[in-house]
This record gives sequence, C-alpha cells and structure tokens, in this order.
Amino acid sequence: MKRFPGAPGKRPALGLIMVKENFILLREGKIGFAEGFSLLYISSLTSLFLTLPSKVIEDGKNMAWLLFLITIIMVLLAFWIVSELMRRQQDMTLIEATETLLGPYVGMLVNTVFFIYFVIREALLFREYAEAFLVAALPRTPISVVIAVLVVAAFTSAYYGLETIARAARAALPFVVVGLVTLYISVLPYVDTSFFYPLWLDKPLFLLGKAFLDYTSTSELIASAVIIHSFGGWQFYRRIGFLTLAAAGGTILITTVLILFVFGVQGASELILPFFNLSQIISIGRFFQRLESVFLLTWAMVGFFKIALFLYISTVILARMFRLADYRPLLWIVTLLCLVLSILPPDLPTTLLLDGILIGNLGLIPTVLLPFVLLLVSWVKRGVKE
Amino acid sequence: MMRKPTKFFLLAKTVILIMAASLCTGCFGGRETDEVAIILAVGIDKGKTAPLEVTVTVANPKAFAAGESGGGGQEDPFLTASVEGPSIWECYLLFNSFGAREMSFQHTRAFIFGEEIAREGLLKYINALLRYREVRRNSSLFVCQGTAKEFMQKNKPRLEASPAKQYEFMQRMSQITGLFPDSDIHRFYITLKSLHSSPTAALVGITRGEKAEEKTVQPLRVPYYAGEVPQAGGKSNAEFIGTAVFRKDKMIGKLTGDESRTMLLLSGHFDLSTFTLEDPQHKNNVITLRLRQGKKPDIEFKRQGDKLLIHEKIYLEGEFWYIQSGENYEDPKKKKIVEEAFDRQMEQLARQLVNKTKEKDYGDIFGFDRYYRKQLSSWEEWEKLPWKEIYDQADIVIDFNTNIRRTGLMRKESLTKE
Repeated sequence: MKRFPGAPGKRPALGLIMVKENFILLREGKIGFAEGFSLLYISSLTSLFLTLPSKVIEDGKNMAWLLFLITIIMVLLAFWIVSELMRRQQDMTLIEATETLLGPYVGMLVNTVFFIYFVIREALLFREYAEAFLVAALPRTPISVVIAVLVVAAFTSAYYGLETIARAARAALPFVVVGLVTLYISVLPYVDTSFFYPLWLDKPLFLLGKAFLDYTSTSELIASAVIIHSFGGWQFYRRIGFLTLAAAGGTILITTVLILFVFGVQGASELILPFFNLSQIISIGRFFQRLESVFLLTWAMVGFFKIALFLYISTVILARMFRLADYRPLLWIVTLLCLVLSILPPDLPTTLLLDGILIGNLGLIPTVLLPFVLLLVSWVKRGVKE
Repeated sequence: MMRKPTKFFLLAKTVILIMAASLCTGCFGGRETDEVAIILAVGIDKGKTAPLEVTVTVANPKAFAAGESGGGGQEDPFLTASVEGPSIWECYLLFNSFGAREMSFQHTRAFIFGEEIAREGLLKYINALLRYREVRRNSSLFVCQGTAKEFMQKNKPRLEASPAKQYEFMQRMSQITGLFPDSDIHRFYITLKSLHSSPTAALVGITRGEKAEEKTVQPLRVPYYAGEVPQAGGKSNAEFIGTAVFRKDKMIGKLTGDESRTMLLLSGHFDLSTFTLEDPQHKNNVITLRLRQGKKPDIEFKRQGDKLLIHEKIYLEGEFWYIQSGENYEDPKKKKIVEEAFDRQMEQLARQLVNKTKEKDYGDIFGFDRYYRKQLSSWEEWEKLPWKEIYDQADIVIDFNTNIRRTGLMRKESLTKE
C-alpha cells in the first residue's frame, strides 16, 4: 500500500483516488467552514503587510478608500464568474474543468498559464517577504538564509498537506484578528480624519480603470477553485469564497483608511511597509510602545500560511495536469523552481515592479479573463447540448 | 496499514527542527543589551569644520550597574559626545569608531536641532532619519535656542535619572501647561508633506546665567522664549517654552509661551492650562482659572467677495483657582462677568497672534487648511490650492466661549473681620 507519512491518525490525507471522466483526482482531505475561511482569509491578508496600502493611497489619493471599495466589488464579481464556472463543472477542480471545456491541448496550455502564474506569485512572495523581514527586523541576516527559512517552512507545510495548513490557520486566526484589532485601537490617537477630504474626485473613470487593471487580480480567486474538493462541494466553496474575499477586503480597506488617516496621502505614499510604520508609532503611556516586534509575529504568521498554501497549490496544479496520484514527488522541483525565480530580481524595487506588472496587470489573465472565457465556453457547450 | 516512519525521515525532521530553531532566532542581527550604547537624545547643529555636528546623549550602564554593587555613586547616568561629519549617518559611523558598543537609536526619545540649522531647513535631515528602522517617528522634535550641543551638555535634569525620561515627561507637560506644542517627527513631517499649513516645533533652551531680558508681565501673558524664564534653583536648567515656526521646512520665527498656548487653542490641540487675568471689577487684582478644551473648535468658512471669512469658536471649561479680590464670582451672575472678560481678552490675544502670523509671513500655523479641505471637491484642487495667499487675505474671527463650571474646593469666600 502507498505510504502517506503526512497523515497521522486513521484517515490518510491523501491517496483516495477518484476517477471520473478519465481524470484522476487527488483528494486533499476535508476542511470545514472555519478552517477554509481561516486559510483563505489569512492568505488574502498578506498584501496588507506589504506595499499594497501605500500603492492604493498613491493611486487613489484621498479617495483611496473608494478605489479599494471598487476593487472589492470587482473582486467579488470576478469570484462570481469563477464560482459560476465551478457550479457548472461540479465534481471537478479548475484544472479538470479547463481540460474538459477546452480539450486536452488547449486545456493543458491554459493550465500551464495557471501553473506559471502561481509559481511566479510564490517566487515573488518568497522574495518580498524575505526583503520585508530584512528591512523591518533582520538587517544583518543574509537574504539567502531568510528565503531558505521561508522555503523550508513552505515545503514542510505543503508536504503535510492542505488539511494541516488549514487547521493551523484556524488556530492562528484569533491571534491575527486580535493583533489587527489591537493595532486599530492603538493608533487612534494619531488619526486625523481631515485626511478623508476632499470627499470627491475629478477622474472617476481613472479610479475605475485603476481598480480593475491594477488591483482586481487576486490569486485567491482561482486558488480556492483548485482546492474546491476540500470544501465539500461548490456550495460551500462559493459561500466560503464570497465571505473570505469580502472579509479580507474589508480588513485591508480599514487598514488602508487608517494608514491614510495617520500618514496623509504623501506620507503614506512614501512608505514601503506602511503596516510596519503603523505599528511602530503605537505609544500609549510609557509602557505600551515599541510593539512592532509583536506585530512582526502576526505578520510572519500570515506570510508563512500564504507561501505554504501557494506552494501547495502550484504543486497540485502540476500534479493534476500530469494526472498524478500524489503531488509530493513534484514538491521538490516546484519549490526549487520558485526559489530560483525568487532570487532573479536584482533588488527590491525591481521585485515590486515585477509584482505590479506580472501579478497586478498580467495577473488579470489567469484570475479573471481565463475563468470568464471558460464560463463562456461552458455556456456555449451547454447551449449546444440542449 | 501504516508503515513506521523510516530513520531517514526521523533524521530529516530532526535536522529541519534544529535548523529552524537556530535560524529563526535572528542570531545574525542579534545584539545583546551589553553590546549596544543606547542613545537617549540626538542633537544636530551646523559644524565648524564639516557640514554637521551631531551630539548624542548616551545612557551610561555603569551608573546603574555600580549602583547595585554600591560602589559607583559618582558615575554620571548619561554621557554626551559630539562629532562632526558630512551627514547624520557619517557621524553615526564616527561615533562607533571611538566606542566599543554599537550606537542604537531604538530608545531615542528626542531629536534636537540647533536654531541655525533649523533656519536652513530640516527636511533633508528628517528624511535621513525616517529611512532608518530604529528611529521612531513619535520621538520628540525640538528646536533649540542656540546650539543643540550646548543644550545637551548643560541639560542636567535634577529630578530624573535620565534625560530620556525628562523628554518623555516634557511631552506630557505640553498638555498640562500649553506653553509649547507636543511636537514629534511624525506630526512635523506629515504637516510638511500633506498640508499647506506651516509646521511648528517646541522650542527649548538652557536657562541663561544672567538675568533674562526684562519683560513686562501682563495678565494672560507668558512672554518668554525657552531660556528666558526668570527662574532660580529650579528642577532643571533646561526650559521648554515657546514654539519654533517653520515655512516649509525652514524656521522663520518664534512664538512666546502665551502665543504658543493661543496657537494650540486655535489649532484644537490645546488640552489644559492655567490662565491668570486681571479682575474685571477690581483693578490690580488677578483671577486664576484652570481651563481645558471643552470640545474641538467649530470652524466655518464663508466667501466674502474675493476674501475668505474664517470664523472659529473655541470652547473652554474649567474652574476658579484663585480670586485675589475675594469677590463672590462664584455667583452665577457674577461668574458671567469673569467669563466675558476672559473671552474678550483671549480674543484680543488671538487677533494679535493672527496678525503676527500675517505680518511676519508665518502662514497658517493653526492648521485651518485641514478644515478647509471639506470645501474642496478633488485632490487636484487641493494640490493647486494657494492656501498661503488665501490665509493672508482672509478675515479671521475668533470667538471664545468659556464656561467656568466649578469653583475649586471653596463655595465662596467670606469676608474677613475688620
């Protein structure tokens, strides 16, 4: 019998192989609503701890809140497209659905796009998180060591499987939420609500364009469709997806508004890690200050979950494309690929630029455009059948 | 059937655990407390042989360690050193060349700029500081009358073991006296970058040995700049009173203690202070009030032709601390007389301060532009706003609205027997 070292206890996390319409489907184990929500919520929060709020404020100025609100609505619409596709292709993940709808060759090509997207996302996450650690906390640690720690952590977590990552996320969620709420309350003395004004804008279309082109591309839109079986059906997947994206969007929106209120438009636009700066100014009395090291833990925790999840998803996409029963033989090679890609950008500004182009702009292709095309094909095929 | 984990897996797990445990400790950048010199305050002046002279006050761990063993009572709790160089970080490098411990900014409470360098502009120095992760944005920002070096060398707080605590407490004193603004790097920088109004910073100075310039002290006036308070044998020879006014990042003027208080009242940052005014019914007698901001000021803007009318209402509330004449001002009807007199006198002070800002080209030091933002409809409009010109031409009307709610621990003062 095949050995499943990552599955302690009675139930193997992997290995139940389901054959449907010639597809070999991996089953990653079941995760409940709370676990699924925690996993995707924490994963969606990562950008909050990096440069995103600063970029949103730079683009939206005083109306950054509206820019992000539009983004949330667009992301939810995009998720509706993906979820509608998954409803029509029940009992399949996004990878099998693509092959079913587009045929083996085009399907494989599109799945390769999904795979490349996640590998690039993972590589940039490795690099951005490592750089962020260096900037904020570990200035003398070689970046290779920091990336190596992230890689080992991601590899170990991905090796143990989705169920393990999701359960750990469920346990971590209260700490993340308490950390954020504490931060929100603690920075209130520095809030200047006059930065909310002027309360309108000259170029509403510019804001709409920015929201769609730069910010709607969210990896979690399709990430959840790759692990849809774990949620126990598309209805649960859709509920968790909508709730997660709305909650994470709301959290990022609140934090962005706070950063705007504390640093102003120009001040916030300059920052590379605005969340770190926000935690750095907390000062309540003589003893409740210098808390950034505490927030770094929250920050690191969130980052570790995201890189673990995305490494897992990248590998699972490849395993599904190759119709393998187990994704773990591919884990080494995908990890190595991400690691190699992560050290290619020469510096942090280039990494951020690449992130903006590859994930922000071009990321619309795998996260919005391709699911939309797949949905259209699904409609057309259904129409022809009927 | 589950197979037992092989020896390879056990070994791999052990290696990963050991690696993770050692790598996640942050040992690469770890510094023990006995490896660092903790900088409590930084002073920045123009140098004589180099562009900058940086002075640091460093905590002396020997003083605290010696205290425990009972042998080191003579050790100063802090040490002050200066060095000249082309930039703040070059000076930092030089400091590390003559000390065995690495300088750390993690606990730096105050950055003090000499007046000369403040007049040349602070932005380039603040930019240098804000890039460094150890520098805290909420550290106090002071401008020193004279040089920061002299201030730091002569500043010997008599009640505090460390100047860091003194600076931290002085921030609180701003809220209790209102004689200087509670300024920090964050607020200064944000005002400079995000608003059209003029940034301000607290003024500090060392008590002059000789008698300060003669000043006619009038009620409601605290006409001193830092270093000029007529004190003798006080708790410290460092004085925190007055405000340095900036146009963009260059210092262009100063406000006295009472002007600083009026500025805080008008900007809505006032917390609490004691006001001594002339008794409206008994000349040569004074009344002392302890007042706090009742609520944030109401500010209205109206267009009057080409001009803007700024109408501000300031709300104060508090209690009687002293009625020299013994008049029964506790009576609600008579209380009104004091409130009216106080309001009119404060309005006069406010008018004088507003005129001073216009005459001396200070610009808007009250942050009225923060409120005016509501009148605008877009960011582009805000960026192009010629606020300085609008402010200089605006009619500014200030109304004080004071309510003396309490009378201290006395209901009224009874007459003394003849």
